[in-house]
Amino acid sequence: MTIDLMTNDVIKLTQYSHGAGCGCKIAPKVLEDILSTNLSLPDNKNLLVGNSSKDDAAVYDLGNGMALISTTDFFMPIVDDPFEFGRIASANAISDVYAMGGKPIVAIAILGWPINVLPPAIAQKVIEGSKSICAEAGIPLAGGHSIDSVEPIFGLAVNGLVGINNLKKNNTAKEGDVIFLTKPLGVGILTTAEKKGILKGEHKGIAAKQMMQLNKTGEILGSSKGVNAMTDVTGFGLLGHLVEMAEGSGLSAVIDFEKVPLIIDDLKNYIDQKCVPGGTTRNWDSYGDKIANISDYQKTILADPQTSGGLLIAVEEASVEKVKQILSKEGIEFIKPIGRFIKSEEKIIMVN
Amino acid sequence: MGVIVSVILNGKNIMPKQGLSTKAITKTIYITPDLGDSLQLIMYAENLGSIPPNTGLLIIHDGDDMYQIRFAGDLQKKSAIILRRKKN
Repeated sequence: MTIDLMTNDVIKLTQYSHGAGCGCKIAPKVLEDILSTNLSLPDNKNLLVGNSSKDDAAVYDLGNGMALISTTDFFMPIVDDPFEFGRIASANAISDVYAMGGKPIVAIAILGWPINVLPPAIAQKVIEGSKSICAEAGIPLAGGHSIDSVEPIFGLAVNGLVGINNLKKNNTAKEGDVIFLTKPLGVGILTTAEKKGILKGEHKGIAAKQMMQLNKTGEILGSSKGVNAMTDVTGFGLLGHLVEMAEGSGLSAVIDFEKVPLIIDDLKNYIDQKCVPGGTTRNWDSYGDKIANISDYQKTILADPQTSGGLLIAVEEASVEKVKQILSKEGIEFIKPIGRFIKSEEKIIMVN
Repeated sequence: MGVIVSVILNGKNIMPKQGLSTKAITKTIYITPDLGDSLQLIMYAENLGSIPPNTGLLIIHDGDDMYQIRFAGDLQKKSAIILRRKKN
């Protein structure tokens, strides 16, 4: 028999990772380099969405009018509480299925844990958090894989189903489509402030609450006509994901900055105190040359890496009111359009 | 100052005055016949640490079984677990 003796003091998970949440993502430009290869594989006629586009998940035609959505997402802790970390990482992973208009059906866990540094009981809390959000999504956490790693890592691989007619891609927006964003921006700024220990008391818990909110509305929007394209906003920030959407669709986009929802009113206070995640700079370096007419303040917010961010939706003009009704009914607070897709111009995104 | 605890097995101090950290202190205990069929494992605080109450975690690995004692107390309270040998 062996016994392990250790502290059970409140452990701050974020102190064990160099990055946080989707801010850990490899910058878009670097990822492009990694994925560019001359090695070609034979086409698979059943693969509806794969590496040829920059979408949220792979989609495979099951041949019966339905398609399998397959995705994975994992990252280092963005909050100190292990139960909340499990919930956030899981909500973020499941979101990719919703972002394609699908219904999640099963998940398996991906766990990396520094066994000699952090007690197994803390990892157990992470798993419990994951199970709780999987239950909210109506799916089982059916298994997984774990490794002994230098930093704590957690996420899920999720499978979902979608009727092929309801499949929403991120590269199918049309000129004139109106742009909606269902969660406010600023998660990266608030969590950086928390990590620095300067987050005000009244702002504690706001980012975590938002990140734990499932994007279930995506499944409903999947069957809504007039929703031409959809994705979710994560580590590349609003600008990064909008660039992917616009470029993939052969369009440009105009953003009305005043209409972009912010997680708190005075984000500027934290920006002035240098609460800007490293991912913001990496993001901007990757796609800044595609953005026109933007101030440093706007850049810090629009390129802020989001974790478990909102749905970014392209809706044809005639369906705007119907989509607003759906969002309202689902309890989405942010139903004002933030911009519009336009004919392709020299720059991909213009900020007004 | 960090939390310091001792662990007593059947009245014998087997881990005296251990300073706790997030890195586990591991000790192997051989369950010999002279210990009897009932093992009483007690963890108690030697100090109050910098932020009372003290908290500690003792994990027992016995073959494939694992038991946890979460310790949260002060100089007046102890946490204990009694293990009984299975009779085949």
